[in-house]
This record gives sequence, C-alpha cells and structure tokens, in this order.
Amino acid sequence: MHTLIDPALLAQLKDLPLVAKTVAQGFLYGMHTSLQRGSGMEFSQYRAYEPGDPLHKIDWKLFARSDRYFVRESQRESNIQVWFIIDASASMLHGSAAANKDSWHKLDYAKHLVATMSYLAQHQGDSVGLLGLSGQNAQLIPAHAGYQHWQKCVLHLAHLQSGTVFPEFEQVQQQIAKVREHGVVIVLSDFYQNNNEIFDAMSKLVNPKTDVIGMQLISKDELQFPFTGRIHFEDRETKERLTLSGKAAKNEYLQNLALFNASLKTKLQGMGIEHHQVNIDQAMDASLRKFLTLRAKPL
Amino acid sequence: MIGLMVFFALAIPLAIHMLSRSHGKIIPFPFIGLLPKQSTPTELQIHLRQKRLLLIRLLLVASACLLVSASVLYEWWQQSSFYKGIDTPTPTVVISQDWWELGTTEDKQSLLSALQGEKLEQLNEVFLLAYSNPQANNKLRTVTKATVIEKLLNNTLFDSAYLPQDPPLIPLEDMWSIAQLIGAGAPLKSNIYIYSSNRYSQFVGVPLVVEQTINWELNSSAPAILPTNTAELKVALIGFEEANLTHQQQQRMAWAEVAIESLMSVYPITISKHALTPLNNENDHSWQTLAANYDALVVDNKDKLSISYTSKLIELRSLPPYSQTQYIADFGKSLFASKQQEYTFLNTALSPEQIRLTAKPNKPSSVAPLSREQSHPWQKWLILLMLILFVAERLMSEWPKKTQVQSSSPLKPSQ
Repeated sequence: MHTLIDPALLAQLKDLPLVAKTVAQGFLYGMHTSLQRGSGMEFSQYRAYEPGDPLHKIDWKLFARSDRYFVRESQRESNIQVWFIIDASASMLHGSAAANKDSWHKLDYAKHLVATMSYLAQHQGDSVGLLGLSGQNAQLIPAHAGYQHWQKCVLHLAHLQSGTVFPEFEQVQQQIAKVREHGVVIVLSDFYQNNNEIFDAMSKLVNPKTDVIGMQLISKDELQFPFTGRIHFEDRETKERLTLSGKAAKNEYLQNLALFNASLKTKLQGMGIEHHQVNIDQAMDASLRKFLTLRAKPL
Repeated sequence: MIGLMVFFALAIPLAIHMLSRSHGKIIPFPFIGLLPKQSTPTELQIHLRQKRLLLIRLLLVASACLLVSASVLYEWWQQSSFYKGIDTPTPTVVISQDWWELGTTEDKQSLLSALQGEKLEQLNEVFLLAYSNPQANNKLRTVTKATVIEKLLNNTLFDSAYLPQDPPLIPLEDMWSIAQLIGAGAPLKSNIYIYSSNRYSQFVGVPLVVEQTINWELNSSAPAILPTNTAELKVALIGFEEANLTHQQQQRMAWAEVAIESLMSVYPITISKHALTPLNNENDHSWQTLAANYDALVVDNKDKLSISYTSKLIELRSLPPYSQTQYIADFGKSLFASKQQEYTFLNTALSPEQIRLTAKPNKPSSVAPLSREQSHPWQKWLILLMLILFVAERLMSEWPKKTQVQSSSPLKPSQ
C-alpha cells in the first residue's frame, strides 16, 4: 500500500520534515532497517570475537573490564555524495493549478522533493549536500551524512528564498566547484533561461564519476495552457508583458513548448545528463516513484 | 433639451466601456518566450464583441430616451417636411350637389383655388354627391379633378350624365355617412375635404366616428323650398331674473335664441323676451297675458312655475343637447306643435359648431397628456425593441465574464 501525497495537501502542511518522512516512509516500507556495518568513524555496536577477526579490532579496554573478547564495529561510511541544486529564480514561483494561489509553486515542490530524497539518501548512509541558486545569493550546505545533517539541510531548505533570475556561471563557480565529484547531482529547475546559464553551470558538473540528473519542474497550466480571453501575460523574471488571446495563442504555445522540451532533452542528453520531467500538480510520491523506477538504481 | 439629455444618457455606457477597458487581466507566466509574439485574429474578434456590446448598450439607452420623448418626437415628425414628403396620403374631396347648386361665386372660386393650389396638388379624383331625393336616393360617384375645374371655370352644373346609373350599396343618408364611407377606404392620416351646405337636410343622420381629419367647407344655405300657408309664429322667451339663473340655464337660453334665429330663415317667427320672477300663483296676470298672446312659451325649467301644464310650454332642459343636429328639429317641432301643423325643417341652417363639434368625435380636445403618450404608434415597438436589446445585453455581458474568470486564475484551469 502506498498513499499518494496530494500537492495541495502538502501545501497546507508546511512541514518539510514531516512531509519528507511521510513520503520517504512509503519507499522504505518493507526494507531491512539494519545498517551496513564496517569501518567508519561512527560507532555502531560490539560483537563477540570470532576466529579470523583482525586483532586490532578487539576492544582491549572492554576486555579488561569484562574479561571477554569483543570486536568494535562502526557504521559503514559511504563515499557517495548526493547533491541537490535548486533553481530559486522567480520563474520557479509559478503556482500549481491545484493549490491556492501563492501557496504552492515549483520552488515549494522542489523543497519538498529535495527533503524527501535527501532523507532517503541519508537513510542509506549517503552524504547530502545542498546548493540553492538565485540572482541574489547562493546558499551552500556541504555534503555530510547523518540524520542531524539532514535536519540542518531541511532547515536551510525552509529558509531558501527565491531571487530574480538564475545567476551567471561566473557568479556561482566557487559554489559549483565545491560540489564534490564522485556522487549524484540532481538539479531541480524549470530550465527557463535567457543565456544558457543553467546549461553552463551543469556542464561543469559533468564528469565520469558523477551522475548529473536534471529534473524539469512543470505545472499543469504550462502543459495544458487553459487560458482564454484577452490576457496580459507577464514574465515572472523579466516583467515583460505580452497581450494575447489565450485561445488563439494556445496551439502555437503548445508547439513551442514541445519544441522546447525536445530541445532541452536533446541538450541534456548531449551533455550526458539524465532528463526527468516532473509535473508539480501530480502526487509527489508517485512522481518520485516514477523517477526512481526510470532511474533503475538507488540515489 | 432632449438632445442634451440623450447625449448624457449615451455617455454613461460609453464611459463604462472606456473605464473597464483599462483593467486588463494580468497573469504572471514563467517564461513568455514560449508565447507567440503577434496578436491573433481572435483577439481582434474579442474587441469586436466588446464593441457590439457597447453598441447594444447605446441602443438600449437611446430607445429608452425615445420611449420617454416619443410623443414629442412623433408630433415633430408628423409636422416635419420629411414626413409629409414620404407619407402624405392623397387628400379626398367630396362635393355635394347641394353645395354646388347653392354655392355662391365666391364659394366656387375658393374651391377652384384649392383644386389648383398646392394643398390638393396630389388629388386625382373628386367624389361627387348627387341626389334626386335628398333623404333616400343619394348617389356617390367620382369625377376627375380636371372635370370639376372645367365646370367651375364655366360655372355650369353637372348634368345627368355624371350621375351614377346604379344605386349605391350603402344608403347615403347624410354627409356623415358619406364621410365614414370615404374614411373607410382612405389612409388614416389623410385629409377629407367635404364641401356641403349647412342645411339640416344634409345632416339628418347620426354623427359617426371617422378616424381621418375632416375639413368642412360649408356654405350658407338659402331656403330652396319655402313652406306655404304658414302663419307667423309668436314665441316668448321667458327668463327669470339673471341672478336666479345658473350658467347652464343661461347657456341653454342662448342656444334657444340661436335655434330660433336659424328657423327664422325658413319660417316667419317673431320672438320676444320676458324676464319674470318665479310665480306661485297660476292666476298671475303676467303669466296669463303671456299665455294668451304667444303661440309658444320657452322656459328653461318649468319646475319654478307653479302653474298647470300648458301645451304652449317648451322646456329647454328636456331637449337634446345643442351640439346634436336634431336639436333644431326637436325644438322646431315643439314650437310648431301649438299650430297643429306638420312641418319639416330640412332647410334649416345648422350652425358650424353643430356640424364641427359632432363631426370630430375622434379629436377630443381634453385628453390627458399621459394617455396621448401611451397611445402613440411607436410605443409598443419601442418597448419590444428595448426588451430584445436588454436580453441581448445580458447575454453578451455575462458570457465574457465567465471566460475571464476562467482565464484569470491559473488555479482553475478549464477542463
């Protein structure tokens, strides 16, 4: 059984950790909860010495107190880093058609999705890092493992504010450089850009040891274009206005959108980046399940 | 003034449209680079639809203004040269043989001027009323205007060749029945000119309602057949002191004098007036003297006389109203009753008031302005037009609202 998490319901909750855990529990249901044990810094348990165990792993202090041989085990540390890069430009404030106006938009969806996926990642021992990019600032949370770090990431996600436009690469190249290789980088964006600034940034992330995934967030309004009548469309980033008849402009817009999506997919695949389109008006756990199924491997 | 009011009334919907035009729907969109850059034909159609709505609203207000001021405009339109030019029906002229035979040279010159003038320019035919027996055998036929003018110029009578051979389907007893017969086949707005004498023989019937405007051209009659063996009739008008007479009583006494003077053109009558005080004693000397010396005693109200009934007494209050044409006949019969003779009053001249008052029942002078406004012919069409415009305005103004609501909120996409 899995429960579909309605975006409108999530918008009402406004509780990132709860939502992330709720969604993630749907994926963890039935999985074995024991940790992988091995060498690492974080203590996990003691077990009785068995023949063949290295002698340096025996806890001699405990032997002195108990006169028995115990081997000290630590939680295995993963060297995989999962990075989430969130596009926090103004276009990400485009609302969902299912929720109330200004209460649920692409940025909200991205925050909840990142919180959920980071929970899943930290649950399997991976390090999680976060980079929020907008015109005014770039918020970087270095990649670490552990539940407490996840909580820190969630706190920063909650305070992530939107800016105007996606920054140029020169402005954020220092932050991009900190995104460590040998990991998974998930870029959540609508990929609306004026000077290929998103592609420039993503191209720097691509290397043989890193899986870069582009998650294109799109709303039902953009997919169906239900507008009719005489409307002044205002660009969220440039504030440029265009007056059109919604009904007459629909066909041409849908054609342009299809071309844009095809071009985006081609461009990303050309750079070796996976492309996933996520509808923010669909249930988040269903979208996440679809993403994981298509990816066919864990984060 | 009306134009100014209409102007301000029309300015209201115009101002509403001008003000509402500035409030466009603004929808934030993530990337307008995907939208087409040029205006589409549908956008122009939307403008046109709004203009049609404006036009309907303007027409609605204009029709309301027209409805309010319709009576004034209708009268103005009827009087305008444009209306006369496009909708002036052909006038109708009826000439009675009585008028032709009794008319003076001046009367015929007046008719000739009218036929040759602008007023009767569109006239083609003239109805000619000829009779052999005035009461039963009136016959109506038409002759051309040129024939009438020729006869007038030569001052000749119409001979028997102009008389119709077949009797008319409708007995034409008097000029009013002729007027109604002519009016039944003439347009409502047409003018009917009736040239007739004012002899009672021409108006023995009952006045009938005629929708058209009747213009009576009357000439004074001369007694064609004077009664023979008639002795002079002595009539005494008994009026009480004027302080004791009401206005109606005074008016009835005046009408009696006019009637007697009209009868005097046919019969030898002498008239004298007496002012008495109300008598309580039938043996009063004054009353007995009057009864002995006069053939008829005319009083307005015999109740003020405490005397026994006498055949000589004529009570004006019991006669029909003066405006009726039979007033002359009834009054004359009462006068001559004491003579025990059979008299006809066909040659008695009617006053113009008796003819014109009764001949225009459709033109009441004292009609309330409101009822006149309600009855003008434009009203029902204006109300119907307003209803249609109102329904159209409601339909057209509601439909765009629905689509605007849908399009204004991205949270409620159409399915």
